[in-house]
Amino acid sequence: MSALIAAIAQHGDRTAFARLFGHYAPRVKSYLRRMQVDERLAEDLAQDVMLTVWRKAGLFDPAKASAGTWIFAIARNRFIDTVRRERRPDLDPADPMLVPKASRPADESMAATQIGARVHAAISALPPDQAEVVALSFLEGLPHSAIAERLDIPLGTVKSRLRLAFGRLRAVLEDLK
Amino acid sequence: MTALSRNPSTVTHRLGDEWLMAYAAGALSEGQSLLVATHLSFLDDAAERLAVAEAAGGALLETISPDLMAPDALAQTLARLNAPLPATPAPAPQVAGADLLPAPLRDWLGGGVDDLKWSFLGPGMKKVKLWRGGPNDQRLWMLRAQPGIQVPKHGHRGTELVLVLKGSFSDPHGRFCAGDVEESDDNRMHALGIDEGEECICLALTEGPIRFESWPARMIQPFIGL
Repeated sequence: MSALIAAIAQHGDRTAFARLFGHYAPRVKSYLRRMQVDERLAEDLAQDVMLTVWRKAGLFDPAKASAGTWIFAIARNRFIDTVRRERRPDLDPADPMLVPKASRPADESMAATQIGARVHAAISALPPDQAEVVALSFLEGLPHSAIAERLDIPLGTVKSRLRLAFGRLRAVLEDLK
Repeated sequence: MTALSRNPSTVTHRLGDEWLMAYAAGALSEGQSLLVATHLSFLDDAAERLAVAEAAGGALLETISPDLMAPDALAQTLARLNAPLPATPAPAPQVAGADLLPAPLRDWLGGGVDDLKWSFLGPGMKKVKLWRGGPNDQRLWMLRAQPGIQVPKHGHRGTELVLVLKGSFSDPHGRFCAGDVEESDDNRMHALGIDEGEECICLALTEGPIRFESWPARMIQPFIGL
């Protein structure tokens, strides 16, 4: 999938775009529907998200994120902007604080493709109680307090499950170093 | 104001990773997102950690069961590919003093701390309200306190997050310096002491009105609007 985005960035490859659209547009729409967006708006926004993918393909860095992660972030930001009508304060990548201290190794982009697959595997291997809160958080955008209410568990339990899930994901990345 | 200390090694009180996960998920309110993004700006491994959390969103997007798109969706989108780009808004002009704040807060405020309309909160303390909304009646505001000031014992209905931007304060849980966050839960009454030597500026997110313990502080509560 990363190669398709690269093809769009390098030579405006419409066939690559069509393949990417076929895979991601229905998933982005499904994500937006779970975020309680109505059918018609979800359809429009999914198309808009894919248009953004076309326009911003040059900014995609396969060393930093998988195609799915990059598109998830675009869809999430679009949702916050259009549906919630809120500003999402972003970390500034130009902020010197966020520039990595050491130069990155040459095989970084290979590691990045592995990261996508490993994180994917780690997510599916999460214990069901952790997987449940992660899904409610990412796919329904529920605040911690709403997850606690939905599952009828204490707020502290929601938080500790999310922390544990993050720890497992982080361990995957530590392994690659 | 003097330069904010942004040495990541001094950040000893970090927000729990559940906040990072919720920020990546888009599950935070605007006020919470602003506080979390500002806190992350003080950490040297924030981009890396955020990438891990966002990867969870990417992985879930791959596993979600796809929805049906309209039959002409691809054709319609292809037809728009060569449309002229919408004008992008010009970046906000830099304001003197604003560069001392972490980027997310600086951009959101559109200025520096001295451009804000500070008002009386108590002896040696000023506040400015920034935002109100989200679930549980959240309020985002800033506190500016003189060195050595005691912030009276108080509590809230829900969660209180206090991020130090400049200076430091101390309480029974430790000393909190620039970049540090203190999270206090449900109704735990607590007092803060601003450390000597430097004024302290904090970004605070509270839920519901502040409740002070002592009656003199309680008497001014209706007037401060927090």
